[in-house]
Amino acid sequence: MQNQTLFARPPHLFRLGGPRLFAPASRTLGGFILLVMVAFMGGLLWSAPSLAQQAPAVTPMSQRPPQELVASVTRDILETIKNDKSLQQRDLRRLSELVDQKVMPVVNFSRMTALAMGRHWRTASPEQQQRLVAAFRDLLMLTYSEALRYAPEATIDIRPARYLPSDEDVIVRTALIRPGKEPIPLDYRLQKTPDGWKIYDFNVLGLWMVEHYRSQFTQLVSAKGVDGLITTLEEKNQALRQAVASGKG
Amino acid sequence: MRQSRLWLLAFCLFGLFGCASIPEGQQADGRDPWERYNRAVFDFNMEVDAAVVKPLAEGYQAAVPEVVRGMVRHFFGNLSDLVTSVHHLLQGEPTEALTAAGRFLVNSTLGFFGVSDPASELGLAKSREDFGLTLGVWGAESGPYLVLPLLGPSSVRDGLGTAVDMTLDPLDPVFNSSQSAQNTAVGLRLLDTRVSLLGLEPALSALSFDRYSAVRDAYLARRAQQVNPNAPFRDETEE
Repeated sequence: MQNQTLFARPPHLFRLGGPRLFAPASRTLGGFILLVMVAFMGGLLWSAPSLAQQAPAVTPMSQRPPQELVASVTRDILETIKNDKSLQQRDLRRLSELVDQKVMPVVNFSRMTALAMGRHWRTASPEQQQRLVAAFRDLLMLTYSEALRYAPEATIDIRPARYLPSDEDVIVRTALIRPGKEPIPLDYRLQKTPDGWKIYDFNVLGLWMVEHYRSQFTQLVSAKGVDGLITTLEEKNQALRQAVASGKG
Repeated sequence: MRQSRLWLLAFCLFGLFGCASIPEGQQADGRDPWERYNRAVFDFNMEVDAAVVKPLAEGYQAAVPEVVRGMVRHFFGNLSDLVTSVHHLLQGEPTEALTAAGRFLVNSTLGFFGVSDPASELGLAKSREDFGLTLGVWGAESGPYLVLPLLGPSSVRDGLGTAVDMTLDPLDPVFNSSQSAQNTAVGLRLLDTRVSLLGLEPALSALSFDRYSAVRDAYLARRAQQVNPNAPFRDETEE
């Protein structure tokens, strides 16, 4: 972890990284979607941009307005990945630390899990709920781990806000920009809480995760019950970990 | 060539009316009234992919250096910029049309017939449009979800669009010297596309417990967003 000073940033700097003038030639469609996913990880980060000079800490990160929160968290995560070779090589332990340090503080993850479970959430015991939250976190992390490879050349564009200052549930729209590729739309839903704004859903290429996983989970719960869903999730995570480990060479 | 491709498509469409079963717990989706048929075609596509296309793509990836594959990728990407430019124009987006046309001009000249991509370094952003999206911008609904044999996820609207795009494929005039040159080019483009998707497989696997419905939902969501990027959010997360 490098410098993580908190500092305020004027709103006109939202275009992170700006237009890419010098871009290495890169991959195609495949990478493009993966990238998107990277952006997710990027978007969830919470601490200040490490490009910071000596700007003093002003507002705690989570108390910032939604667009600014998403912008600084995203830039921070992209910078962290750019400066960390082990992350680029998909070191899962390192990634997990990154997620805990930077992503989880700005995400209301139990709410996200509950929404993805839909009506089945309330039928789950507290112990089942805990396992669901943990398994869902790992699933999302592993999904987007592939995107780590593409993060070094990516920048994030924050698109114009479409919410009122008084709104307490907003969508922040961004696009992941890679040279020579189509932009990847990446949006976040945030809710105002006593602890500041928290992300509780995100959208990659038009697909909202809560809605998507709810239809996948509902199907599994109907067929196998909540315990069956947990087992399936944990097995899937195990298989994904092995795939990441073996694909490393 | 063009005609034989369409015939192949038609043959596959009507030859495949076998029915796949719908998994337990699956809820019917109003956008997918032909799910049984679609699942049969989807399974067929997966088998063809596993038996033929994916092994070929892996072989291509292993045998051909990345530099050369990059040139191939840029070459096809350059032709797609030309098509994209026309679609931007049809969609009433002159600025984007000029950008895409500019990319084509720059990459065809400075980029040695498109094998490299100097346009991106000049700040001309890549985009990709097709006739299905143009129809969508003109107001056509996507219609029922439709899995096309060999071509994969589509819809009635997008399938029509694909048929039109196929008949206007710039590969045909570029390789009009011989049928075999055209076939080689089409095959190479397929491999190039498939290789680009290889790295996506772990992510797709994580997104899907029922792969069919995950692919469907992702496809429909993406197309809807492409047609209207500013559509109001449809709030379905609350009960």
